[in-house]
Amino acid sequence: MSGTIFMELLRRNWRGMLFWGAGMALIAWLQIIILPDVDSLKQMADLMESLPPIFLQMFGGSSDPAFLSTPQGYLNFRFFSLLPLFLAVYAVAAGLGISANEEDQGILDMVLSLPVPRWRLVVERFLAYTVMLCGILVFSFVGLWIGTLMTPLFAVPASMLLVATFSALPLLLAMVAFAALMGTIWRRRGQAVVASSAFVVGAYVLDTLGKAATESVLNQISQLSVFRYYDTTSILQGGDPAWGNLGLLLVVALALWAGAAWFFERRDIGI
Amino acid sequence: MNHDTPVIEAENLSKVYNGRRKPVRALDGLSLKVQPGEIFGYLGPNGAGKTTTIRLLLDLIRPTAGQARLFGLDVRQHSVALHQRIGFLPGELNLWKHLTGAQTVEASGRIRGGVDQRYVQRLTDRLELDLGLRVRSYSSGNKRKLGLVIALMNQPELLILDEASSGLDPLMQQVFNELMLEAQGEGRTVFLSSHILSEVQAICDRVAILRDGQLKAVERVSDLTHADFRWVTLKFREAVAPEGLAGLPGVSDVSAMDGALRLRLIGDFDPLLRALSPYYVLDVAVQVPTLEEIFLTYYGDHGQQKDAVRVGAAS
Repeated sequence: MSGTIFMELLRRNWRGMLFWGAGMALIAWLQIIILPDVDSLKQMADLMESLPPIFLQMFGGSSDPAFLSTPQGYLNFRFFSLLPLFLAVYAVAAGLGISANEEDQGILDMVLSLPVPRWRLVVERFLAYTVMLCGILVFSFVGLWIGTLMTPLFAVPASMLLVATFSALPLLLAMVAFAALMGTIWRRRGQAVVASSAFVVGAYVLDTLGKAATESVLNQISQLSVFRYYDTTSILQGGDPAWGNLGLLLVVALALWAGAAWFFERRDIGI
Repeated sequence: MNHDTPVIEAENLSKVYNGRRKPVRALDGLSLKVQPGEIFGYLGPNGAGKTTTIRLLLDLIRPTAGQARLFGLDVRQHSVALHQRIGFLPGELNLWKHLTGAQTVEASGRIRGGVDQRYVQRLTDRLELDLGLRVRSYSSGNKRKLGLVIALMNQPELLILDEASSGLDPLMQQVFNELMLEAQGEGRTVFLSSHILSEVQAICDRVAILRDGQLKAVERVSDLTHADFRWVTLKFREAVAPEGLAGLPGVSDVSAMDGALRLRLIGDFDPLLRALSPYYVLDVAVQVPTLEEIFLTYYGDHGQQKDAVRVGAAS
């Protein structure tokens, strides 16, 4: 029956989503309430300015000192730059949860002996993890929002926080889809874990180095990194999201997802 | 599907795995038909290709050559429709460990589009299975019972069971046999892979014997067991020369061993017992041959049927 695989995964994993959501909400809330006043914000901005460019880039810093000393700049530096890195762990685990984990545990034989096509398993589970990622992002937003309500200094519009939080979704979906693809290509979970982790870490390092070395060829190569297309600065500076970048990430995620379904449909299930 | 269409049909089915060093031919040109309403035993030692066959039938793996059909339909093209009509129990049953038995049954039932809870209750009562426990806390026997409930709960037209009763105690083995015979009585078909001869003898109509990925024979169970033999060990008060018993009807392979004689006996005991009357027998031990020994007796090391044994069996 259509939707049953989707619902089964939600039933089995909603507690994990709550755990991750609560954790992210707590981190978001803490990032705001630990900063008591404007002076502290200014000191933080001064400190960031004194860092070498590569460190600033590594932690999502902006080259605009005025922006760094605003609540939005602070949140960009302390929370939004790290958000996809925190959730990359969940995203990779989710991607592996589409087929690799159950194949590794020998459960997949039982699942695929039921009347469900393989492609639907990939599609419905991907959608279920998308919903759970959205749930975690909602928790994160709520943590930020409560923090801003408790700290008058952070007079950041809720809609801006919501859009900035959800702008991480396409990047996270690309990670889920990549891990899912690795899980369907390799029959061994360990190989899929290594490949997916290398993808995330490699893309992040490439993006960081590329941004820091603006004059070098590394900057051009870093266009290949999925992190390059995650940009909350424009949103938090009052502008619109970079729709083109978000769209590109979504296309990459969908292509990887389709690839996962294609490979999974065609290959032997390992014991 | 009309009544003449085999429930299971394999045509020249082969599977070669890419091994680390060289390709491994797990199944080699299997051609087989299982008719509706049969309990069909699929016998063979470990590594013979039984599980590979089952996984091919379920479209979990794809054949290197040949074709498999269930109910006359190609297993790959119609896998979803076919799986609706199949109950499956894998040889090595792995389930979500954090779910309870009941949750596991419900999950499988939902994917199948619903389940008859009263029938599940009847099954669990007969198998004496507590569905309230988490899967991780089940013993191997209880996990097997849970797998049987999942396979049987939708009363499928075809049951594919891989080493179904391994881990079951003798009482539950009996219940399992009854369940299979009841399924057959309702017109359903059972494909049962096993290496336990007694299980096969008790419930199967026909058996296929597989060895090294090749089908050696398909026999009626009665024919297979008729050729059955036993190892007989005799202890005497005084030494008896092996030649004294050689040549008796059904007796072969007589050898002296630790002061006793060991021989292979096919057929009735009477000629042997009469021949023993001049001697003082201290002890008699009768050992049922392993399935492997029966295979070897039937088909030899290279798969050639031994006519001598057939003659011996018939005598």
